Amino acid sequence: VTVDRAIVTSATSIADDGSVERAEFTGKPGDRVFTYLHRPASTPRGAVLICSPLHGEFTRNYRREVLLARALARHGLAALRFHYRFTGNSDGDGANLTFESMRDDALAGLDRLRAEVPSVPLFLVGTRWGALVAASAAAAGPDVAVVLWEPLLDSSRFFKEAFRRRLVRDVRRDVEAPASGRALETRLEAGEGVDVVAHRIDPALYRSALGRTLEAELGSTPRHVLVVQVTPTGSVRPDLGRLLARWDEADLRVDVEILHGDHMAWLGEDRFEDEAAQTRTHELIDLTARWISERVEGAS
Amino acid sequence: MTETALTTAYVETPVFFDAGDHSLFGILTLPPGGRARSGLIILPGGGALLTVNRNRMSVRICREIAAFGYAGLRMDYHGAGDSTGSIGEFRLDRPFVDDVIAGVRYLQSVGVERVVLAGSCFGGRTALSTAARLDNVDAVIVIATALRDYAFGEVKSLVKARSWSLGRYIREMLRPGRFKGLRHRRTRRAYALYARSKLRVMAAGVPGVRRAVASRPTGTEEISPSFEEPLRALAARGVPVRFLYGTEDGFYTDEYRAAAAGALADVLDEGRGVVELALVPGRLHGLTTVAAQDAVVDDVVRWAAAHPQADDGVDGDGGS
Repeated sequence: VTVDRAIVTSATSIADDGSVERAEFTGKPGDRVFTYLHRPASTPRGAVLICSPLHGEFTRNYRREVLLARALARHGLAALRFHYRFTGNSDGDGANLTFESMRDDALAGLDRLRAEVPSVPLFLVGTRWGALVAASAAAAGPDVAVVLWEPLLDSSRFFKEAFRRRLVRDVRRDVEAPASGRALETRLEAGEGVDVVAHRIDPALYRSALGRTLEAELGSTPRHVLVVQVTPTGSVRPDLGRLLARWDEADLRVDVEILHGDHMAWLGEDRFEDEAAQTRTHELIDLTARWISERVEGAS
Repeated sequence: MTETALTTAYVETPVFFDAGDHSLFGILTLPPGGRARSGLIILPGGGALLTVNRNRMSVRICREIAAFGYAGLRMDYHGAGDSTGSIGEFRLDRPFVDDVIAGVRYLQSVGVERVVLAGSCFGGRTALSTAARLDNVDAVIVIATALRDYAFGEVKSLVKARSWSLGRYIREMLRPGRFKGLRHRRTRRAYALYARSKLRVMAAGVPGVRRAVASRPTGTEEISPSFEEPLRALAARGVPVRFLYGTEDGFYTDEYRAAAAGALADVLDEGRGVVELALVPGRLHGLTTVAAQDAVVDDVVRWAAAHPQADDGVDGDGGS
């Protein structure tokens, strides 16, 4: 890159296995989306769009998504990651982030994949909040299979957990009058942003997301779905179990994988762990890449 | 294919550069003219190992300092974010100097001759150590950084060890959920860390033992050589070092103030004009509140505004 000669908005790196990674800003100045495309060394036989979670979970899940994309490339699949506008390295101010803008970015990502890797099976992977976005984007077309990591079943759950985390932090720090969840909701309803442990939830996001459920976003069009739940109990959560039963009745072809371990609660403690020792992460990535590969083989 | 994309306030491009066997990822932000002679590298701490840093702090800093003629580089360490490799060990006394030197060399390759290194916590220690190894560093900004060496998570265990009674420890130990935690290696390690910290704090309070404990300080009780040595080297060369703390940061109240009054009094003396201390109300370490993040962004941007850079086509006082 010679900055003196040309201002470039993309950079490419070639890995030892021959796969190519291309980081790029796409879109108009001031409205650009940061994207990162992984292409396998061979002709891609499928393509995967990865929808990230939000705020603290975005940071905590980031490396998992990078490793997943690299694993997918090793399986002969293209993968596109992106930062929603108004978040991460993309343009814009967080106050303008809405559920609709996130879904639009995901739909643009699918279009990009269709253009970059035409005529191959398409997949969406979404974690937590990203699962709601992935489901919503998938609903726009019947041909997209979906992988949901620890999906949020209801957007209100996200806010409740965030408010509870803030309350815990305030109590630990002996804050005189810790704000209750109801008080924070009232502030958001009144158009005021709230700080929820290192991140800010703005009214635009709150209003645009209220009442959204995974079931409604995905719809009932038959498609392949993989749900991965991380749980210390080894069994499916009751609310997820009920949703799975309804999906089964609606003829969605749903597979469920349970990983034993701590729930990937957002805004949890930041704890460094040697990547090689993160067996659950590797397990999660392996089973996801394998499931997608099997669907691709089935489609061909 | 390459495209030109100019915004009104900055120009940004993703970049890859090599550091040993690793391909590191970063984002270069330039002033509107697309060139700069001075750059600032912003380094995250261990809690948010990513170009964007906690809540996009690094994005904001890089974009805002472009108005003052600076190139901004936010980069992933090896094994983090979009870089290759893996982090086998993460210790304050082993900062990722080679990664940042690679970042500086990359900036030089695109015409950015002088650099400012800024970082929080682990990033601050990395900035200090790297600056001492280079001769083109104009300043270092060290944010909420420990002077002593802690293992990851050790600060929290020490706070608990000092504030919880032995009875509280026993009650916490006997909670049913604790036994379940014993099944997980990471949780077992955390329990052991908490127990060690409490034993050490208790032992230090026993007459006779106190002297023995003091004569064999652990990394948490003495100023780290990996903090002191680069700081002394930079001070000897007259490279300005700005420390930024929150008034409630333990690293400031317990460590910095003690060092400034004792072992590092000669170096941390602001009267010498090399070291500068800036304080903001509250707690910065961990950057776990939006207010703390805003305070850091404001401080770094104000620093850049006070030291504007001029370059071809870019006014020293801004230009956007």
